[in-house]
Amino acid sequence: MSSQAEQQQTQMEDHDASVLRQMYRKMREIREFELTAQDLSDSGEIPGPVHLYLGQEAVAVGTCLALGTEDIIGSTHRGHGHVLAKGADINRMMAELAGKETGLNNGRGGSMHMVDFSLGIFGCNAIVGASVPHVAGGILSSQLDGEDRVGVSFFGDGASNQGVVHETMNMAAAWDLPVVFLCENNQYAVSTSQETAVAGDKISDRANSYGMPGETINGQNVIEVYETVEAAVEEARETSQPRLVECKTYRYTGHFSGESALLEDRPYRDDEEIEKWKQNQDPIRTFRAALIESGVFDEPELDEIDTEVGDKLETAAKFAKESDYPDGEKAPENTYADQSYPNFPAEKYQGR
Amino acid sequence: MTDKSYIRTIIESYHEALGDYDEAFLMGEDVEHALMGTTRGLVDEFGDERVRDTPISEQGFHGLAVGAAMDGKRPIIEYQINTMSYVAMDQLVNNAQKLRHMTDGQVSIPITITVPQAGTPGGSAAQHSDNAYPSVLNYGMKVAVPSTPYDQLGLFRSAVAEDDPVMVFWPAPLIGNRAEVPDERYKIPLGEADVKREGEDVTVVAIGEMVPEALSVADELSPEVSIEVVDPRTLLPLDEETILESVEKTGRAVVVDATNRTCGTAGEIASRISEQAFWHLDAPVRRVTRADVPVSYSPPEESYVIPNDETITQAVRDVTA
Repeated sequence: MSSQAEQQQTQMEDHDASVLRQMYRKMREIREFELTAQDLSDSGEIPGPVHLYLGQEAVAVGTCLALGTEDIIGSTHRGHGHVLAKGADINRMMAELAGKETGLNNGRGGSMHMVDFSLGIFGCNAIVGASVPHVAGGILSSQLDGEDRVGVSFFGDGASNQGVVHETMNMAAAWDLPVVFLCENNQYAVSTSQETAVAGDKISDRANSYGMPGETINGQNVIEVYETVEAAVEEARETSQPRLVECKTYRYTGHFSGESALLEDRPYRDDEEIEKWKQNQDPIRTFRAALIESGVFDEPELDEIDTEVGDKLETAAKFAKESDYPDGEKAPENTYADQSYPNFPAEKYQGR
Repeated sequence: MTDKSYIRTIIESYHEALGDYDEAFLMGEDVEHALMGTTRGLVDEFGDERVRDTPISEQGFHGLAVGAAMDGKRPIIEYQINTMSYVAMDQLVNNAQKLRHMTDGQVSIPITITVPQAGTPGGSAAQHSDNAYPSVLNYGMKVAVPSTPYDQLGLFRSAVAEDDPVMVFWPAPLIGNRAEVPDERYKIPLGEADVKREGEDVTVVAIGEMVPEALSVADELSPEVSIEVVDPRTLLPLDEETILESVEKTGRAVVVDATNRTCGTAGEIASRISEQAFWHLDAPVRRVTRADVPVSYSPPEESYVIPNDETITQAVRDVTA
C-alpha cells in the first residue's frame, strides 16, 4: 500500500461510512465521466475541445462535499469535475459537451461554460481567472442581503499569476467576503511548468499579502481536501474573511483533448513523471485501497459502486448521443433580454 | 419644467435608481466623495454598502459586478476615466455581454456602466480622451449617448431598467449644459432616435458631443442649406428607421462622430445608409470623424484631431455641391 493510502486509512476513522461512500462514488463518477468524454471526443461526438480532470478528482469532491447547495462555486476551463461534484445532472452535462439541446446550457456553452444557478454553479469559464471575481461578486450580493453563504473559487496555478485573481483576493479581504480561493496546482499551465512560471515557494504564501490564511495540502487525498476545506468554509462563514487553499495535484492527460496530436514529438513532461503520480498518488486507487484495508467496505461493495457508475455513464453517453442538436436558427435567441427592435441582433446579411 | 444642468440630471438619476431598485448598488473609484460631482449625496442617502468606493482594480470590480448580477443584483459602475473599459475588457465583453447568450438565457446581467467625461474634456491627452464605444459596440454592448439633459434623464431610466449590460456615455463637453426638463417622470426607450432639427436638404447624423456642433452648423448655413440633424441617442440598438427616413427625404447624408475613422461608429451608420437608402442618395455619404491619431495634449494638436463645425460645414458643402 502506498503511504498516501496508509494515511487515508488513519484519517477514515473520523468519518462516517456514508460520507466515505459519497467520496468514492463521486470520484469514480468524475473519472468515468472524463474517460467517456475522451471516447466521445475521439469518436467525433463532441465537437469542441475538452479539458479533462483525470487525476484531480479528489479536489472537486473533497471541496464540494464541504459546501451547501446555496453556497457558490466558480469554475475553470477544466470544470467537469467541479460541476459534477456540486451536483449537476450528469446526463445534461454530457449532452452539453456534445452540443445538444438537452445540455445544461441547451448546447450553447459546451464544456467550458456549463452553469446551474439552482445549485450555485456560477459557471465554468474559458478565460483563465475570469470566474474568480464572479464568485466574490455573488458573495458580495449575499453580504448585501445579510446572508452567510460562502463561495469557493476554483482556479489553477496558471491563474495564480492572473491580475484579476489578485484584485479579487484583495477586494475579498478588504470587503470581508467569505470566499475560499481554491487553487488547484496541477503543475502545468498548458505546457508551462509552475516551477518556472510561479515565483515564490508556494502559491498559498501569496495569501499573506492579503492578510488571509493560506495553506498547501495534498490534493490527491480526498479526506485531507475535505477536512481542510470544511474547516476553511466554516471559518470563512464565521469570520466573513477569505481563505486560500492550495491543493497540489496532477492532471494525467494533456491540457486539452487535442494536445497529443499537437505535441506528440515534443512532450513537456516525461511518462515517468506521469506514472509516478499515478502509482503513488492516484486519488481513487489509494482511497479504494484504504477503504478495503480499513474494512469500511469490501471489494464487492466497491465493485458494485463501480458497476453502478459505469451504467450511469453509459446512460449519459446514450442520452448525449441520442439527443438532438438545437435548430441552427435558434442561434440569435437570448442574446438580449428584449429583442423586439428591428433587425436586432443584426442578421449576417440584411437583404432588400 | 425646471431648468437643470446636465450633471444635475445625472445626480438625480442615481438617486432615483437607488431609490427605485432595492437590488441596485453603485460602485466605482472615489464615488463616495463624488470626485466627478455626479454621485453627490448618495452615500448620505443610501449608505456605504450600496455606494462603495472600489480599489483601483477595474477587471476585478467589473467581475464582482458580474457575479453580483448573477445573484440577482442590479449593479451600477461609474468610471472615473473614460478609457477604463480598455482595462476591464474581458469582464465587459467576454463575460457581462455574453453570459445571457452562453447560458441560453439562464442568467441576466443588468449592469449599467456610466462614463462621465467621455470624449475630450480638454487637455486630457491621449489616454483620457476617448469615446470608447466602438470597441464595445463591436461585441454587442448596448450603448446610450445622451446629448441633452432631457435625453439623459429619460435614457438613464431605460438603461437601469434593462436586464442586460448597458454603457451610458456622458460627453465631457456637454456636462455643464443647461435645459428645461419636465418635472414629471418620463422614459426614453433605447433604440429611439431624435430629430433634433428638421430640414430638407441634408441629413446630418450626429452623436453625443457632436450634436450641438451639428446644430450650430445648421444655424450657420440656414437658410442657404436646410439641415436635418438626427441624434441616434442609442447606438445599439440603433434606430435605423428614423435615420433612413430622414435620408430618403433629403437625399444627402453626413455622419458625424468623435471616434476614430477606422471601424468607428460613423462607418457603421454610413454603411447602413449606403446599403438601405442607396437609390435615394444624390451624393456619396460623407463621414466626419476623429483623425486616426491619438489625442494630443497641446490644444492646437488636440483641435486638429477632433471633428468641429468647420469639418462638418465642409462635409455639408461637399454633399450639396
